[in-house]
Amino acid sequence: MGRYIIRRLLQAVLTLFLALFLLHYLTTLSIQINGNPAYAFFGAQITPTPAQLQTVSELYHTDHPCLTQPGNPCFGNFFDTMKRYAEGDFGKDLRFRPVTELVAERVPNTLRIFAVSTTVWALAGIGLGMVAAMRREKFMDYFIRLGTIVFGAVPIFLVVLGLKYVAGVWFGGWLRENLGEENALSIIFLPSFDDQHPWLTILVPGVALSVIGAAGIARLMRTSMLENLRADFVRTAKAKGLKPGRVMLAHTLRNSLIPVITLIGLSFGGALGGAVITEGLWNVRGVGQLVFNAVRQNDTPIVIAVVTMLVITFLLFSLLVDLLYAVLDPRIRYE
Amino acid sequence: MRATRVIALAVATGLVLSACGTSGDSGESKTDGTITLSMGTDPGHTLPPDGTESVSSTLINMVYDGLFDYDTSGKLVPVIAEAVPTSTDNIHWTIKIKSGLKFQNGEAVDAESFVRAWNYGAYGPNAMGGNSFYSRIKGAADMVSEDPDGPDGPKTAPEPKAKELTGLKATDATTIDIELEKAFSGFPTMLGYLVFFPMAKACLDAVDACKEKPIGNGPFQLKTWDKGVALTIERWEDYAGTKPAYKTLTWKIFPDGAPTFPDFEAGQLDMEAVPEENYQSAKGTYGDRMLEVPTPSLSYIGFPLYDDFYKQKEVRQALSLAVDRDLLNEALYQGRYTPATSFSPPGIIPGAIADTCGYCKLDVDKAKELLAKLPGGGWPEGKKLKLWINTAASGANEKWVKAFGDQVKQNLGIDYEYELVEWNAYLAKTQAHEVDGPYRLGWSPDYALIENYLTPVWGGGAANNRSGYENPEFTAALEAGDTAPTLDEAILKYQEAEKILGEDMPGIPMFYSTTATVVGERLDLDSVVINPVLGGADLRLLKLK
Repeated sequence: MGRYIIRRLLQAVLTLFLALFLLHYLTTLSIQINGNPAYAFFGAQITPTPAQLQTVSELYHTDHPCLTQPGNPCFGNFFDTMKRYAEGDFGKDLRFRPVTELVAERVPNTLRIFAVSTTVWALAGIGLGMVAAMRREKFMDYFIRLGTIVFGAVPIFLVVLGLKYVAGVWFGGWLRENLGEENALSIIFLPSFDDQHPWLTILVPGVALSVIGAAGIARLMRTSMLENLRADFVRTAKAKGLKPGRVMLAHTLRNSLIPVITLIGLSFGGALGGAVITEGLWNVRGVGQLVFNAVRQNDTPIVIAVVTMLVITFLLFSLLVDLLYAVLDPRIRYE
Repeated sequence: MRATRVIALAVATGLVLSACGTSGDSGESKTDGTITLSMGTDPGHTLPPDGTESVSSTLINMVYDGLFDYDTSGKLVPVIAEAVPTSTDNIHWTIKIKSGLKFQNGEAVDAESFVRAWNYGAYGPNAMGGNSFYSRIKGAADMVSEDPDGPDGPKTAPEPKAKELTGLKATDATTIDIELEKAFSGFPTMLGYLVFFPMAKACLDAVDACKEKPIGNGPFQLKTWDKGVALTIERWEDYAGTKPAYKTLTWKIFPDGAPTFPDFEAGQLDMEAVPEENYQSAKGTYGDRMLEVPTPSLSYIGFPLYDDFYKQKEVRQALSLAVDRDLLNEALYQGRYTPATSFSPPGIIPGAIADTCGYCKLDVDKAKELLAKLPGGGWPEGKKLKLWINTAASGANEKWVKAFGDQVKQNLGIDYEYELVEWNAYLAKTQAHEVDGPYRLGWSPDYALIENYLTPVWGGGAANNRSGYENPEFTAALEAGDTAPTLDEAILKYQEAEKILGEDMPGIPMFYSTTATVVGERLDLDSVVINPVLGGADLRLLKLK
């Protein structure tokens, strides 16, 4: 177990380093090819004086001469950047606000939206998978499988935009007319996030975001359950005379969860990407929206800093998932 | 059956929860009411000399008052100034201001408060967005310095020679004396622009704090600003001018790209611009609560005149003649835009007239005739027309530039290709003259004078404008306009300058856009006055029903 953990930690550090370098190299190349991002600061209506450009370039660390030599990997800059990151300095956005501050004030909403999504994954994904497996080849099974295909195929932005109108404008409008503006249900079905009611107004986009992954999780859960229901150790448990509930929970479900947890871990990565779109379109002040805005405004420093943070988070999640394996699966623990 | 019960339960829960909540804003009188609008992003440049970008200028125009304002026809209206000043030589200007006006912190709005703001803006190292607007004042050149090895080089720019404009003085508390570098009859018109607004001393003493909480002198003061969520301003009860008819204005921040129209439809916003895709349905739904107003915002295609091929006037003229603007207007914008026949928007900006561009109409025969005059007797065999487009604005620009290319292909048989470039690169490349084909850009006015469409875009010499255009006649006409004894005479000269553009065609004017705005039920429709120069409704005048 100890050796397994150490090996995974070392892998994580190496992956992190490579990912950060890749990010750095892509940014560097983009500046070398596209020119100084400081121009975006001024826009088309203003022709900045050299002094103005200089001030802005220094602020965003884009004044290094190696950034004018295409192809040069700029190792010096990379280590400077890593040093700044290590000191907790992730730079500033085009409006001079530190990225760490921006991220910090946005983390709560992102955690909220993920809390909703994870709940939906756990309840709907795992629950529906179990139901389908237990009612195999019956109506519910077909119904759930058809549903997962439909939802798995619809792109997230379509779900979000559709919900904005269906849930926010039409259904929400009907609710507001009949129940009043201040009614909790009327607030839940607002067409965008409202900071005054952070939990209520995050439910709809949270459910929308969970569409990424939920379908896959349900299908995998079903397959995994079916496999385990036929497994020798389940037959043994039944033969031993254990109660059906215990057989189901301790033997079948627990073993079926191993691949599903892997998928949930991977889905987090997908959902981080989905959160960019969901938060952006639902106007949730979260980390994803920060990226959404920054991309729209060509705010490269923000995109890179936040993506770096997301990479770190994602790697931590994968690590956590791998460690959870060890808890769930004795074969890994004793390797 | 079971599903109905679940819904019933949910609705019941909602009813119980609602009973616990407060009963809304029924007790509020309309003059104490709140108006809710959307804003595309947090304002990033809240100091007046820096507020050139649209979101920041929306806030600054509510919180600050300037010397002058523009009415809906673009004319100057004195606000803090006693009157529109006159000058005998157009070099020396004296502006008298009203006395007794105060900033929101109690400081006096005196001549010094203008001098201090302009000096701050003109000083290069402060990197204010409006820096170039002070360049006509004497001494401005000494306030900025050149970086010896360009902005990408390791050396930093030396400190500028001066910290104050020599041509700017507060003679006494109510008199500002200005000396310009060269005569400019349109100078007072510039002064209505927000970069010429005053600033309190306390603001400059603590600039960073003042960016967060502006110390204004206008009808509203900033109340709360939760970054990325909402910005609220409240009526300043000590305001000396006409007080607004409502108390609070909240801008909910919807970052660029987040749809706002559903929020308007759900009654959460009181006024909103109609997106292109909702235009038809909104027209049917909202009827006369949808206002359509032409804007002075010009879309044009610029030519790289530093490129040998595009140096040939015939090429530029022919391409402009090959495009049916009316057809594109119908096909792309349901006929809502105004096809451009000039380089500045007639009817909106004082002095701007239609039909200054002789080649802004469809005339395929003439285009072919012009191309036949080229060495080689026509468009070079196999040469593609390369159009440059930037990626911003969700493809809206791409759409019309491609339609332009299709027109050229259809009418002249010239194949086109296009280069999509990211916005940074686009700005950098057009500015550095690295673009090798016609490029798309737009222009919106800073101040209401036809000159603002000429000098910043096409003037300043070949090295200083994006197209690399320079024509001594054009320069002379602009100069003659600047030095003309009165504004009316100046405008005639500027119109002449514009006609030179209309012959030289350093660019192809395409459209002036039209905006559609829907007004919600809570607002008094008559109070919504769209000021085309401000580019939207005058928010100070809004009234609640």
